[in-house]
Amino acid sequence: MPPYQLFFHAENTHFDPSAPCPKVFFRKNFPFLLFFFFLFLNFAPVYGQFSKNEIRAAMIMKFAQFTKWPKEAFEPYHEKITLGIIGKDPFGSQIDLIFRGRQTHGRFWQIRRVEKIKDLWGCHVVFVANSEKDKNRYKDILDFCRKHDLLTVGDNIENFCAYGGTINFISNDGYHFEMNIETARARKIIIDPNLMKLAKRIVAPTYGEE
Amino acid sequence: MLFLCLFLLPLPSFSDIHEAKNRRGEREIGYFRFGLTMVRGHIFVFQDGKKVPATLQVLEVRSKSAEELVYSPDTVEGSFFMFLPPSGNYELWVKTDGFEPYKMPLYIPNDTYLYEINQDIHFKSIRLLGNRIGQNVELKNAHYNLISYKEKNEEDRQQLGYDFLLDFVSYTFNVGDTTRLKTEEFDKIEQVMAKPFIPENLSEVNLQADTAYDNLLATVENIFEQPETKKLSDIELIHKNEEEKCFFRVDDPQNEVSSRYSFVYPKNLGEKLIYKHTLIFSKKNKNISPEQAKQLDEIAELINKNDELFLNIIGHTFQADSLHDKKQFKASAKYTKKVFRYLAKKITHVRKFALIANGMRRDLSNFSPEEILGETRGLSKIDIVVIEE
Repeated sequence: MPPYQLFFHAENTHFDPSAPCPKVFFRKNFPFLLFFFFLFLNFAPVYGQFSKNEIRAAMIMKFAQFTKWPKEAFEPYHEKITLGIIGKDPFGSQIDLIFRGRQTHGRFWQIRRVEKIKDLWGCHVVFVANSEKDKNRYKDILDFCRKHDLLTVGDNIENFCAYGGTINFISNDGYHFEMNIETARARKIIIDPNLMKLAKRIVAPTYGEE
Repeated sequence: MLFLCLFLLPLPSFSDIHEAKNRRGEREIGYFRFGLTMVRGHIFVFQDGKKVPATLQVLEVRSKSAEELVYSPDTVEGSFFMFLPPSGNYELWVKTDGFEPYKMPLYIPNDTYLYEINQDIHFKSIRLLGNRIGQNVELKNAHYNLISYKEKNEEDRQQLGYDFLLDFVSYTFNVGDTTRLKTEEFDKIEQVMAKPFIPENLSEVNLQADTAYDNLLATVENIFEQPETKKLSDIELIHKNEEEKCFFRVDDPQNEVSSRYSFVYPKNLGEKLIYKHTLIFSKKNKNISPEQAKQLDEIAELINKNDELFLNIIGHTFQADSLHDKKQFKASAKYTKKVFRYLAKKITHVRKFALIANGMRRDLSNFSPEEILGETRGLSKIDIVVIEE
């Protein structure tokens, strides 16, 4: 190769004929290369492929998996786990695709989108959309949920956990959340302590008394 | 009168089971025909901040066939209408002039009666030195509303149907195309409003889990099970940015040079050429001028902002004959290094330089005197090529 054809290559590809032969390099460093090959084989990176809402939907399903309801919550015994979405739904049909055909605690899911608070009766998990933060409507929703064994998940609503919500997504990160473990206890539902370790904040309930 | 006529039309009753053809044209006996799902909402399309008209096209994913009953948004209210069979996967293509179409996945669950989509879609141009080199699509203010047959009683369903019909009629008046009300399409809309046949276990008909989400659910479960070793921020690995960037490809015929000392790129390397900027050095201007520096700064800024963009710096010599002049080669190498050193100060990571080379010969006769600054000797051309990998 003529020396003036290429004089520099940023990717360490040498065209210099005086450079060592690659065959010798591989023979000498074979054990190290083998070690690094298996090291990176196990920790292959997964590239971004899911949107924020898809990740949140998957997290809601797993929140339910790490929560235990009392027996009375499922009557009749073959009842499905019902997710109620109240307010302007941010998920659309994506959440239907994720939940379709999957089971949690041996039960299939059904999704109910409601406008009126009383329609939440019979749900097991309630997702309160961000549109409900206005006019403090979320407080009425949480007052209703307090009477039943419901796991409440808020979509970045300020003071959601302080007023008695169980889990609240925090907006800046998309999928970080805060938790209020006291409200879960009061409602006879048991939440796995592992979830608490992942929560960014643990909030004490004040029910608006400040 | 027209409105009255519409309300007085008798609603046809559906046969529960009948003989029909499926999408592949095969005959199916015992195929359930449910009412179509009414899809409506508002889609506003903005081009660099200005509201522009857009057209919608819906393709069924398996058959890639275009759905017929799709009415694109009007520019006044942005309202659109569609009638699609439920329990289907669709691709919704939003098209607007001067931009690549944007694709949105659309899944309509079983027994869905009404599906509302409200979105603002912002198309923005990515510019470099006054030229459009790509586009960025951003979704804002998205919310949805899915109403199921089961959740609503018959009266509510009829009320929703009439509301939909009124909206659709006012849409056709807004668009100024009232002929649709008289065509066969309107008969189909009528059918949508009819009471559908819903078997009791309808939602279990299509209950196979979507395997595309297995990876996502496994990742989240893994993190939840081992909070000591894993962090919630590990999810960032699978998180997709909701902005969709796209850079336009440029075909540059000048790169197709075949001579003994030429270096042909980028087609052999499989790179996507986005933009080519040329600097010409001669005996009079040996240094990078302030104007050229500004241009290089703009290129460096773009490269730093976009992870997927890289740079090639390629120096050429100008010669009238086929002989290779070593003096010119050395001068070209010097200028190439000069440009590289300038850009290396501005660009954050050295990995951004995919290739730096020089020594390619250009035939002077192919260039106009303006392009080569009216000179014929001691000229060097440095191409700064932005590529996407």
